[in-house]
Amino acid sequence: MIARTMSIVDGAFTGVSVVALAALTLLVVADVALRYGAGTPIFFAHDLVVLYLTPAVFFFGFGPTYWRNEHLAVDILMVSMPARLQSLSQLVSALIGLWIFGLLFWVSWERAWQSFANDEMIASIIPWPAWASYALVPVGSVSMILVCAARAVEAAIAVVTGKQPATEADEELTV
Amino acid sequence: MISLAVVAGLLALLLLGVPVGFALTFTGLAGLMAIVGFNSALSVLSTTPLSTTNSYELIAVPLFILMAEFVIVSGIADRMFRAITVWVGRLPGGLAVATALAGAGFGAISGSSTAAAAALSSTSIPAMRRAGYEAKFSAGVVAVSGTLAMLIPPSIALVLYGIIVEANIAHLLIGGVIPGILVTLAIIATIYVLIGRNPEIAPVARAWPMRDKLRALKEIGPMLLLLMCVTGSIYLGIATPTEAAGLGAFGAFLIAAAFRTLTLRSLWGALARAVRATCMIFLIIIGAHVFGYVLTLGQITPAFVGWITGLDVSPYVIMAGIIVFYLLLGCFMDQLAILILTVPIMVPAITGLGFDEVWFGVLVVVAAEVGMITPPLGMNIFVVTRYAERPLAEVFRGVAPHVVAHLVVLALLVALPGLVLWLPGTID
Amino acid sequence: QEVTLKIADSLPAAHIITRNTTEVFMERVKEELGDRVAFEHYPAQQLAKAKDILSITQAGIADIGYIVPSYVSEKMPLGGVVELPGEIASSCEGSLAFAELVRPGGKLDELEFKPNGVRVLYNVALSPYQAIFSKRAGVASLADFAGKKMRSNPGAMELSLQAVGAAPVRMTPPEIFDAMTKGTIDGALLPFTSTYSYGLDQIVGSATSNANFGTVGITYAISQTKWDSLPEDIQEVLTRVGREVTESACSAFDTAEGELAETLADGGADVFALSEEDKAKLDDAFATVAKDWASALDSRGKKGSEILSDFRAEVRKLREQGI
Ligand code: NA
Ligand code: NA
Repeated sequence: MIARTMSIVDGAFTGVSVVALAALTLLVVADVALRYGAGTPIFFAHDLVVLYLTPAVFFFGFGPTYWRNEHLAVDILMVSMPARLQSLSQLVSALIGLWIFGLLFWVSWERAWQSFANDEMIASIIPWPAWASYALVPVGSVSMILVCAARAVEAAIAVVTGKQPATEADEELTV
Repeated sequence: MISLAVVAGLLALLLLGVPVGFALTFTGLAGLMAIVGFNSALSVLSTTPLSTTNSYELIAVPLFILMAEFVIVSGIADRMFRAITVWVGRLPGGLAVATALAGAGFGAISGSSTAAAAALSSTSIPAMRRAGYEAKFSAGVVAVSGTLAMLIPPSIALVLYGIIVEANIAHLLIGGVIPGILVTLAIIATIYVLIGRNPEIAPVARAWPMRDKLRALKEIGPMLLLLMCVTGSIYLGIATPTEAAGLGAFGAFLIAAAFRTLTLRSLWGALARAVRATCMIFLIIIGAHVFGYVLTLGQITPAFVGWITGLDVSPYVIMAGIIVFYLLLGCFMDQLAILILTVPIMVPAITGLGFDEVWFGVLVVVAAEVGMITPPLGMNIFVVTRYAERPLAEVFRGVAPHVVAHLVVLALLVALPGLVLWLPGTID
Repeated sequence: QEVTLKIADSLPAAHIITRNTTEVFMERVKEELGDRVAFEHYPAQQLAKAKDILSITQAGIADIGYIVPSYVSEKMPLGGVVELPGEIASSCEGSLAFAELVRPGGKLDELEFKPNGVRVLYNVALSPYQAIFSKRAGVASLADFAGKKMRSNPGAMELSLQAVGAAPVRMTPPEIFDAMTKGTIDGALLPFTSTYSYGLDQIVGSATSNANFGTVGITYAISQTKWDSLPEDIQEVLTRVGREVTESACSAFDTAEGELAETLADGGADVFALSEEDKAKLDDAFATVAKDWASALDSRGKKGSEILSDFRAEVRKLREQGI
C-alpha cells in the first residue's frame, strides 16, 4: 500500500527532475553552439537555468533519492547492530527529515506566497516572476515530506515487530 | 560552547547512520536557533537551500554525472579495454597494464571513481580471470585504476572543491592532468614490481596481429572525441567548465545513440540516476551551508585558522599533518562528504600558510583516491568485491601495494608543486 | 563595550570598495566611540551570498548588510534607478544623488528600504562603467560595437548593450580574464578600478573613456530593529560617519578612475573618447532604456517615472552645486 503509493510519487517527482535536467543540458549545449555558430548566445539561458531548472532538478529530486535510500549516510557502525536498533535509527532519520522539510515547506511557501502577492519580478531582459522560482522549493519538497512520512511509518512498524524494514532499489547502487 | 555541542551532536547523528545532509541541516538549524533564535534560524532556512542551488557554475556537477551515465550506457569502457588489450596484451601482466590504461582513459571521460570501478570491473576482472591472473592481484589493479576518474579531468570532486573554495575550476581540472598521469605510471610500476617478485600472478598472454591492432584503434575514437569535448575545450578555452560539462554530457549521449545502446528506458535511467546522484551531493552541500553558519557565527573557522597559522613549526610539517588527517578520515568516511565538510575550514588555513589553493585541491583529491581503497570503508573496494566475488579482506590486501605507491606520488606532489601547477599556468 | 555590530558583505576581504567604505567606517566610528562599539566583519559571503544579505540582515544574523538593490531587484526594483545607463557622469554624482533618495525619510527609503526593515548608513555608486575590449576585437568607435559579445551585469546594463547592437553574455567577474583572452567574449562593461582589480589591464586593447553604461549602486544598511536598540549618541555618530564615508568613498573612486584611465593608456591600450556624434547616439539609446525601465515599473503599479525624475533632479542639483 505504502510502497505502491510511493512508487507513483517517486515516478512523478523524478519525472519533473529528469525533464528539467534534460532541458538544462540542451540549453547549455545550444547556448555554446549558438555563441560559436551564430555569434548570438541565448540571452535568457542563464536566467532560465538558474531561476527555474536547477531548483526543479534538486527540490523535486530530493524525495525520490531518499525513497531509494541513495542519500549518503555513514552506516559503518549501524550495519553491525541488531535489526531493531537499525530500524530505530531509520525512524530517527525519517523524523529529522520530516522536521527539516516540514519547516522548509512552511518558510519557502510563505516566501513564494509573499513574492506572488507583491508581484515580484527579477530585473532582467525578460522580467521573470520571482515567485515561480521560489515556489519550486515548497512544491518540490512535498516529495521529501511524503517520503519521510512513509519511511517513518515503515520504520516504526519495524521497530515494533522487530523485522528489517524493506529497502527499495539497491540494484542501482553501484552506478 | 554552543558550537562545540553542535559539532558533537553532528558526530553522534552521523554515527547513528542519519543521512549526512539531514544531520548537517538538523544540527546546524538547532545551533542557529540557540545562537540567534528561532525566527532568524528559519530565515536562513528560507534562503539557503534555494540560493545554494541557483548558481550557474554548479550545474557542471549534474552534467558531469550525466556524462558518466551516458558513457556507461554506451559501453565505451568495454570497447576501450578490449582495444587496449590488443595493443599491450602480449606484455607480461598485459591485462593488468591495460586495466590501468583503461582506467586512465575512462577517467578522461568520466568524473566519478565509483562509476569507473564498476565499469572496469565488469570487463577486466572476467578477462583477467580467464587469462589465469591471481584474483587478489587483479582485483587490486581494478580497484586502484578506478580511482583515477576523480583526478583526471573531468572530476566531480575538483568541481565541487572549486565551487566551495571559489577557486578557478578550469585550473583545478587541468591541474589534475599531470598527477593523473603520474598515478597511472605508479600503478603500472607497482604492477611490474609485483610481477617481478612473483611472475606467476600474471601469465603472459597471446599476441595480436597488426591488422587487429589497427582495427582496435578506432575503438579509442569516441573516447578521444569526448576527451576533446571536455578537457580539450577547457584547456583551449573554447568553453567554461560548465559548458564543457554540457558538451561532454551531450557528446556521450550522441555516442550512446550511435552505438545503438540508447533506448527510451536507458535514457530515462541515465537521467534519473544522474538526478539522484546530484541530489545526494547537494543535500549535503545545503546542509553544510546551514551548518556553516554555526561555525562562522561561533567564530570556529577563524579560531581554527588562527591556531593552524600560529603553530610554531614549518608549514610543510603542518601540511604533512593535514594530509595524514585526510588519509585517516578517508578510511572511515565518504570522500565527497569529507570534501564538503572540511574544505571550507581547511582552505583558509592553507592559504594563510601561503600555500596555493589549486595545488591543495589536487592534493586533497589524490588523498581521496587513497580513501577509496583503504579499509574499512573503501567504496571502490566494495564495488570490485561484488564483481570479483572474492572476500573483502583479500581485495584490501591486493590493493595495499597500490596504496603505498599512491602515497609516494602524494609525497612527490607535495615536494614539487610545479607538477600540479605548471599545466594550468600554460592555459593562456 | 555596549554594542557589537556584525557587518556582512560578499566582497573579497581587501576589495577596493571595502577599503574605501566599510574599513573607513569602522575606523572612524572606533575613533569617536572607542570601546563602546565593537565590529565583527564577515566579508567574502561568509554569512550569505550577495542576494541573501538583505534577508539575513532582516533576520538579525547580520546587523549591517551590503545591500545592492539590483541584486534583490524583486524586492527593491526602484533602487535600480542609480544603475541606469547615461544618467551620471561620476561616482560622486551617482552616490550623492542616490544618497538623497535612500537616506532615512528619502523617497526610496520610504518606498523600499523602510518597508524591508533596513536603514541605509552609507552608500556608493561605482564610477560609470566603460566598455573595454580585447586586442583582437579591435573596437575604436561606436559602430564597431555591433555584434560584439560582452560581459555585463544583469538588468539595465544588458539592455544598454542591446541598445548599441552588442550581445550581453553572463559570467562571473573572475571568468572574464580567461574568456577575453580566448575570445569567448570580445569585451566587458566595467569601471577601470574593476578592470585593474581583475587583472584585465594586461589584455585590454581598447576602452571607452567617456561613455556611461551604468553603474552598481551599493548600500550598507542597518536593520531597523538593531538601530532602535542603539543609544541616541551612537545613532548620531553612525549617521554622521556614514554620510562622511559616502562622500569620501565616491571622491576616492573618481580620483582612482581618472588615474587608472591614464595608466591604461600609458600601458598601450587605446583609451578613446566617443565622438560628439557617437555620444549623442548613445544618449538617445540610453534615454530609451531609462524610459522603458520607468514605464515597465509604472505598469506594475510602482513609481518608476517618479523615482527617475527625482533622481535626475538630484543629479541636476549636484551639477548646479559644481560637484
Ligand atoms: Na575523470
Ligand atoms: Na577508505
